[in-house]
Amino acid sequence: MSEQIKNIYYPVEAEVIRVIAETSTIKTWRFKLSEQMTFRAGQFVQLTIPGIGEAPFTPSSEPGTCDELDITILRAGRVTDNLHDNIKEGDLVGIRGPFGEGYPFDKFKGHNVLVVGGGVGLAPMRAGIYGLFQRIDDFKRVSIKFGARSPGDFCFTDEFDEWAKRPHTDVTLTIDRDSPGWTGRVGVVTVLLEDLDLDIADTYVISCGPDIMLKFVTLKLLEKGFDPYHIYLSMNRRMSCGLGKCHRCNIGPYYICKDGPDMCYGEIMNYPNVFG
Amino acid sequence: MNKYKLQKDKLQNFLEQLAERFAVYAPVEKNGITSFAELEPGQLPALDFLRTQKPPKDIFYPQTEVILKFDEDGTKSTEYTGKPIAVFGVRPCDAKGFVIVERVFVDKKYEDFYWAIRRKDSLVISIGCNEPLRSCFCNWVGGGPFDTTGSDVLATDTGTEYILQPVSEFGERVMAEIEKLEKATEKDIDKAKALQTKALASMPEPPALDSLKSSLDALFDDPFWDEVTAKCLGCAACTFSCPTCYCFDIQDESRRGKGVRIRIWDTCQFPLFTKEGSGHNPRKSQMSRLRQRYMHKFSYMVETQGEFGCVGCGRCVSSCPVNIDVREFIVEAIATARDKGVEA
Repeated sequence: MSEQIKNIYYPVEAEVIRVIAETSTIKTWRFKLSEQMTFRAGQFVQLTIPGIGEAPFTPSSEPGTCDELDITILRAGRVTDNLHDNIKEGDLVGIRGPFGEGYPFDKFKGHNVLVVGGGVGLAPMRAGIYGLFQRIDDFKRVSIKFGARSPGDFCFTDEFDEWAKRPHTDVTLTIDRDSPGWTGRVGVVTVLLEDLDLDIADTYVISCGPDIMLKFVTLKLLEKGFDPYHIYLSMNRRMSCGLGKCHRCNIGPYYICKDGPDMCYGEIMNYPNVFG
Repeated sequence: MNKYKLQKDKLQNFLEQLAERFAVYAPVEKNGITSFAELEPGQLPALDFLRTQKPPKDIFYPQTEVILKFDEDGTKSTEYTGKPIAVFGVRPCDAKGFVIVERVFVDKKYEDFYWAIRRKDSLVISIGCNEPLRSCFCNWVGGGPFDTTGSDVLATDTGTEYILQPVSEFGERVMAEIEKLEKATEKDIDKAKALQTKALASMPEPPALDSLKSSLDALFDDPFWDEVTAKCLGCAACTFSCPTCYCFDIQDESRRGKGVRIRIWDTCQFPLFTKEGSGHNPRKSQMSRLRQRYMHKFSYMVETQGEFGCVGCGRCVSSCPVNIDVREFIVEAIATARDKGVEA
């Protein structure tokens, strides 16, 4: 055992410098970190509200070495309710990480990348998308397909046009039920997978959203002929430690925290309860 | 390595010498419960039973531990700052349990700070089991009543003395530094060996478990599991009494701007363990939760650690309020897979 043991449970201090309302239930917090952090697309951090609790989130800001970090959070439970209700500019929180492996972008080199996101799943996808943009010439095409319940449930809408102008990148949106003034597609996100103009054998997929969406996206992709080993799913599981110790997020012998959270579907498909 | 002999009437002196440099933990009986605790000055361990009811994992991994404190000055870690820990009188199954938990807490990627701080420079002196209990099955899962895995020193109880056999260099060094410890003679060593052979021979012949993992993998969706779970109450006595179960939760408690973060034993047998913020729960039924426990120990850990995550201590057998016996489960699983012709 090493002489100096690093305390992986100790969060570094971070100050809230901005709070941005994204939708009625989603906000982005921008944190100024007291120590620089380097994270890869897909990796996550544990956010501490001192005395309230800790919860895992994938940053929504550009991956790399950073002094500031954005985390986009849906109001969904005890810790996130407390964030939404109480945490404002100037407040101090704690952040530890990054954890997980992140996306294997090197593997995607020379191929198309299909990005499929739903609901608040767009938040971690944004870090993934900026990670792809950092090396856009490595990929033949980046095709982004997002779904939300209604037009008001999309985050980062003011960025979609800019993304679509990037080299060989396209963005398509759909909403669950039609809404006045909506000009995009209608239906759950799998409708955008019906008429793909991509060479399926030459395409890798990254996807993030609720379990039920991941399930139907995966089924649709398999039906379309995708290789299970080309599908990377950002898995949802309850977590405590983030380090493969507390054991609540396992799928078979894998830990979503330590080995993921973006898991290759081909590797986990033979284990039970992948989609719960 | 030299072997030593400790007369039982010199045990107190031996433990006092250990206590000069270690915090000495040993079996004690308190309020009718047997467990491991740090010995008070002059206190002798309770050694007239085989295994403690509570497993000794809490020596290095307390059931509840405050890991951080929050106040107006910020966040502080509250790690163990006492002397290095010596464990005296742990049984070989439990000593092996430390090794299995350690492979999780100190893996290639991350070192669990609070476990590692307590394990640093620690000493484990185990006492072999002359008369294994009926619920013991260490010999099923690669162990034995005098297995040395996880021990720095293994003691054999000859009735009036302990024959001390150092296992690690550290154990050898510490024993060499104990004053007035006699060297064991050839005769002493032969006596110890005879007891060890007799103990192993007293245990029923174990079944072959070579096909256990492949049987369980093949049976994953089989109705077999409904029968296995039929009488399970989901009380988690098996996991809390298990020396290799390590699941935990992290919770904050606070009042008026001051608070603490606590790490606390948790269990895969409770529905809340995996219930997500959305309300979704990937393990809704007790069947899926008991299956998770058995799959983890007898399939997944074979993949992640190369051996079963069970040391055969038998605590889950004796603590289960509805008499679920993991040995019956193991035998049944292998037979079911064989009968159905599904074993991989």
